[in-house]
Amino acid sequence: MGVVASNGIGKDQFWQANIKGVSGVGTITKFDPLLYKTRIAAEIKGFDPLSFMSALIAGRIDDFSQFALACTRMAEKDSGLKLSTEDLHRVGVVIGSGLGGMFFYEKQIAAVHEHGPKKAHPMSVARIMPNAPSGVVSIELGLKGPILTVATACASGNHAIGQACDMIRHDRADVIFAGGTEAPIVPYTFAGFDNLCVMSRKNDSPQEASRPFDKQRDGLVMGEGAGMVVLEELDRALKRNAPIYAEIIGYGLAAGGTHMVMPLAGGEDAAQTMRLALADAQIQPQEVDYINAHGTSTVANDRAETLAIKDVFKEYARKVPVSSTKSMIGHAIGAAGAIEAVVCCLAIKNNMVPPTVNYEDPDPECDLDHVAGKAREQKVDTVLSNSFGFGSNNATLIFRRLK
Amino acid sequence: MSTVELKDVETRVKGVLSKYLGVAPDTIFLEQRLVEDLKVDSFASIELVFELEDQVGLEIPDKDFINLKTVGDVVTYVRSRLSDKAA
Repeated sequence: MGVVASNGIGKDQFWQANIKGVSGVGTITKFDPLLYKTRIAAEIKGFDPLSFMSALIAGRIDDFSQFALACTRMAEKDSGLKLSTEDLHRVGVVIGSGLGGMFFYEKQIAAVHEHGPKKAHPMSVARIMPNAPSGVVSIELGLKGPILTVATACASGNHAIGQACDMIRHDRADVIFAGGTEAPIVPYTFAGFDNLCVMSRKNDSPQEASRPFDKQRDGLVMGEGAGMVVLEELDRALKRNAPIYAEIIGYGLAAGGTHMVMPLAGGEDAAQTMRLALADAQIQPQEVDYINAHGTSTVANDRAETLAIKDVFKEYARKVPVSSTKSMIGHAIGAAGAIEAVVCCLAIKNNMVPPTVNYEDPDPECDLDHVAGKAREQKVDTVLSNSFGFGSNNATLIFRRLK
Repeated sequence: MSTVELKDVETRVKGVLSKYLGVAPDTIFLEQRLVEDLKVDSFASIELVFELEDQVGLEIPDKDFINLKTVGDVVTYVRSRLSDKAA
């Protein structure tokens, strides 16, 4: 696994931050946020691309590709795979991104408006396109197997891992690097979210701004980063003594089919997505030990997701812990599901449920066990992880400890 | 683009090449051939010309660049265009 998140880079630092409830949110430094209603975000700090790639490559790709390539290199190392001895036609990559290379895109738009069309960089398209990260990864690692990009907004990371899982089930590849990446903290993109009025304006208390399921919440906090995991056909992974964090046993995908940005108020589509994942996993709801919620810190999501969990899990909904990683690292859009997949795997490995920070004044309509403030040691064998995206794109994954 | 002095042209050209190729500027010599020695293929030349134009403040037509065989040719060409411009 590999992760670049606002509260930690690399799985160890990231996990420690998560169980300690460390927030990665702060005042925006990437551009001057003075004229914005929201002036905070969960920015990546201390990321040195040169630890993972040459200066030549780093200079030719957008931030979102850098994050993805860095995480892939970490995941490759962690997995113990020796790519030099693999049949690279059987190794693929699937990466989700909601937006594409927005940093470079915005720079090019500005240059063309200011100086005319001759100023558009000849490699603009190749740097901006949402499938740039999967292309970069495939080229840098020499992968010749299936290569795919999914763009399902906030659910892209979950869909990418789910699609990769399906590819392995269908024997299209033996190994797939899968995950999601995003770098949306750039002026125009951020302004769009700002004017959609979905982001928290707690500019004076950034670390308390992302507060999923809490009554005092006022919107999500934009994040950035990436997460990558290595998926491998089980028998093959066992044969080479791979370090196995978890098995992916369930994948569900569905849509609300009604609105571009609002979930169904009753959570019907979210419930259906979870049911499909449980059916795919062939397990009962009571077998789930922990739910990693989509938990964005918007009223619309948090309430709909709570209703959906109650609908699917019935009375067990009151017993199963439900926490939100976004309370600490904000919402990293297309990377969110993939970063949360890393959390789910580490929760299983460590038998530990990370907390929802800032859940201090519960929204009466979000009254599940949200693991307020402190991580909890407990048996974690099976984890369900939700992601729901703009465009009504929902995906749920289920991870289980290898028996 | 600010005015480029004729004496700076060699440094600018080598700078663009070294940055693009990811090598130190002092490993680039005027005698080196773009295609054979530095592996600047036709695709790479598109990006290279774009960076070069930005650095020297000139528009360089493809039909001109295609005739430049060595690093020295590029330096001579840029100097001559800048001199014409100044004249």
